[in-house]
Amino acid sequence: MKMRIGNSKILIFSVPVLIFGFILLYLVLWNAYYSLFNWSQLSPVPKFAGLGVYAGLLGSQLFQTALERTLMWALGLVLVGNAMGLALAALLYFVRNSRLRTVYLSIFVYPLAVPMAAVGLISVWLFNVKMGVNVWLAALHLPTPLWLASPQTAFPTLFLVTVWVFSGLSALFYLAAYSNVDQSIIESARVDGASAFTIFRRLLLPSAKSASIVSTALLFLFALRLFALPYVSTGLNPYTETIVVNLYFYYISTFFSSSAAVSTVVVVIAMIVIIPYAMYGLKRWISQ
Amino acid sequence: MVKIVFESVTKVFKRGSNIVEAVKDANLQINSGEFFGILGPSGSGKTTTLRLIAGLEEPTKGKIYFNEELVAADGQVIVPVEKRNVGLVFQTWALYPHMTCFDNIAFPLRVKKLAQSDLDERVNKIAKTLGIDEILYKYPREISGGQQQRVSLARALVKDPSLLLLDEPFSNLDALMRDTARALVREVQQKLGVTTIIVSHDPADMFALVEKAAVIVGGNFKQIGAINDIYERPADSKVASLLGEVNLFEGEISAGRFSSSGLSLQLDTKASGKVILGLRPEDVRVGSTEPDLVHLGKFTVLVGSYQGGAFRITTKKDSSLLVFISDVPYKAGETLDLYAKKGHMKVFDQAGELVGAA
Amino acid sequence: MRYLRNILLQVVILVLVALWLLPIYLMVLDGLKSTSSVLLTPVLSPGGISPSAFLSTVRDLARPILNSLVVTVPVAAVGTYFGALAAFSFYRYTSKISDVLFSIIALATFVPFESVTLPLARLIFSMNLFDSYLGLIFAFLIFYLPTGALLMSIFLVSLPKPVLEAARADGAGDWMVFNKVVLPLMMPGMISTFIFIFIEVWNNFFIPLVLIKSPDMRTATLAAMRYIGGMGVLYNDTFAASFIISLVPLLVFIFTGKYFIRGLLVIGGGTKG
Repeated sequence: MKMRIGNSKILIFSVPVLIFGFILLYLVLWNAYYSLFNWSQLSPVPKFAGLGVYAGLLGSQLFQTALERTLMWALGLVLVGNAMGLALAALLYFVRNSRLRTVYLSIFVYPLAVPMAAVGLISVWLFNVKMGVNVWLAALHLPTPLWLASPQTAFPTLFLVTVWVFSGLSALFYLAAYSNVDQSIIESARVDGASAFTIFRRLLLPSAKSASIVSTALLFLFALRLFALPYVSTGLNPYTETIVVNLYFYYISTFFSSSAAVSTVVVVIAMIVIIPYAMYGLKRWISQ
Repeated sequence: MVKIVFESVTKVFKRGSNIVEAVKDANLQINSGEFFGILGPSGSGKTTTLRLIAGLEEPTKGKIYFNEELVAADGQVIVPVEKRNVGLVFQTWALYPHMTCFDNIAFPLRVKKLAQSDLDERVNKIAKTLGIDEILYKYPREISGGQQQRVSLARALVKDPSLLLLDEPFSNLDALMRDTARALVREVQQKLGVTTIIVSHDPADMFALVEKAAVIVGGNFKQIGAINDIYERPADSKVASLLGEVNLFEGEISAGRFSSSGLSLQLDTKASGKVILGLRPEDVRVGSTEPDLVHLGKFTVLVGSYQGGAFRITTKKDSSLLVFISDVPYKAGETLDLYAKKGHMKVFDQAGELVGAA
Repeated sequence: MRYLRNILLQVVILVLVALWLLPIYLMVLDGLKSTSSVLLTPVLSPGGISPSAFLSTVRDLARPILNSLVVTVPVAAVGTYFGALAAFSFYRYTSKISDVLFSIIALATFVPFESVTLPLARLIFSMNLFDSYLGLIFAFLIFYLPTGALLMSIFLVSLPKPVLEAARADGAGDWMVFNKVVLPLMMPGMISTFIFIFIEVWNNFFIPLVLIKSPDMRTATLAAMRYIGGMGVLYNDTFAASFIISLVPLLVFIFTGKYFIRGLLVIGGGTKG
């Protein structure tokens, strides 16, 4: 309901949020603007270069691999994270005791509350070639990969760690979706003698569609932003460098416009996922 | 006390790409101290009308006056609800769940920053009047529906409002509670003399409480007047059915004789052509025990049910169904000789508009 | 048959649970190892109990933890309260303009903060807030005020509208309606928002990395850098440090997990769920 602006003291309340929101917008646009200039420690005065900086990035091996790796990480996390989430949620769904179910769910979700830096520290030692999990693998006569020490296995290792961190988030959304299925439908299926797997396939899975959209969007976005984990585990290392690590590299090596350009790329990729997701989510929200 | 005037008020809602005209060009006048009813089926716009009066919605077009002062006009609320001194009783009572009943009732007084001793006195007084002084320190979730309703009423009255608005206040109560609640509301209104408007779909509320009423259907006010007038002379068949049950028979009148399936009645009416005849169940008699009756014919009982202290008998003759009220039960299959009270039948034209009585 | 299935289910879950809890097991087990144990035993095996690692890391991390608290609590509090205020004013004034504003706020929530490193650093620097608590708080607020507003808006939807209208009919102005009715009724939602922002800010590594220079201003997660490994760091210190850094958010999660989970559901699903 509209009111004359003079009466609306309450709008003042929203001012702080708006101010900070607009600052954020300004920062994003600033990046986009300066990414079009040639600006670094070597050329301290920004000179307009159009898309030259982006061209330079595309030519840079480091940027290419970082971008590629981030996208692979994102897609991989979406696939594996969703699969794990679906499976975990299904397992939890069939736990009878609701208290126990909550406890289990919390156990799968708690990694989200752990600082990624700590996860990185743990990973470094858990996957230590001489002292880590290899000791037990050897005792069981299983292969002992080089984990973080080898260029081929460093990335998959970290990938597995992120699966550990984010599967719980996916499971959370799927479990919520499963719980929304009418209990009486499940019960009548049980009465008809359906097995748990059938119930899962025919009744739970179809209801997971909206959860999968949320889960996919969030997994993608989190993957896009991975920094602390690779940075702490393997430092500025071309074999695990994500695009954000890349942008940090440009930032600290004072290639300002490169940093701005990579940043803009990150934002653009994020927006490609966020905007349709936000439209979908907001529409549902507003129609309530 | 407040006199309310609506001048060509229209309210339009936009829901996405749907445009809903909830109230269409309404003109109303509610006098100071009056107990006024707004009757209509669900979705007819009656609650919207009430919200416009309260100031919770703004009229898309038109003007609303309180005592000659313009309070809302053309898309704007000029005097917001918090300044209108209105007591509002919601259908769901809308009590503050996190406050005790005492604090719920005291809230409007706290807003006015009344002194604690005055506040205590007024809250206790109104609680006593409404019979809820015992539960003042309980929370809304701990008391019954009837008690919650009285707390809601107390909250509305404690601030001495110049206008009392009731939105389907009795619909969440069971039948027995409704009668006591209606009696209470009528008593309070008479004592305080506050302009009161009740919105409801239940004609019983109208008959029990109001002097004047407005009937709204699909956003249009079909009839405004004294409640008895609307009952006797409904503007159309829809209004007639809102104010109580009515048997409707489609047929034709020629030379004063109404013919329909199974019915052939000689009526005292000037109407002719294709008509719809309306007859209320309470105007039907079994057997010619009274004077001034019109013979309807021999009807067969289909089913009898019990409702609100009387028997409701559904009968049939050829393809005409007739429902009437009786204080004796009749069994299915019985044949009854039915009559109608003269002058109480209503003749509607094909569009449903009243053209005469018979 | 049903019984066997049930057992199988429990076993599978327990195996996964054990796997998921492995890091906690490691943090405690290895953090309690003495220096000699560290050199002799592999990471996954027990090696006695010695408080030395914990004691020394607690001492070293005391200041960073304090720094984290000083920054995290105000951001969470301000984000929640002003987020609630903004949500309420959007709610009261639903018109085209505020819908657009709301959309901007919602999008802002999802912008990756890493992508504004450079301008953020320059902004903070130009405000003379580099390497300071206020600088960190200001920077975090840029991201988490919109987040708070978004979360509170969604929680607000679940408030019964008639109760708010009753308050207005009772003569209360917006400010009073907010304080006397909205806040008390939204308490669970506010707690969820607070918890969510708290954990997110505490765990944040990147922003302190970019905005902090002096070692004694480092936040807890940033201080982790010291324990990465290599020369001169024994892994008992590393694990003890990981544990101490994670302790605060984990404790918050253990005690208020319900609220954190609700916060996650809201951010993802947009319904109070």
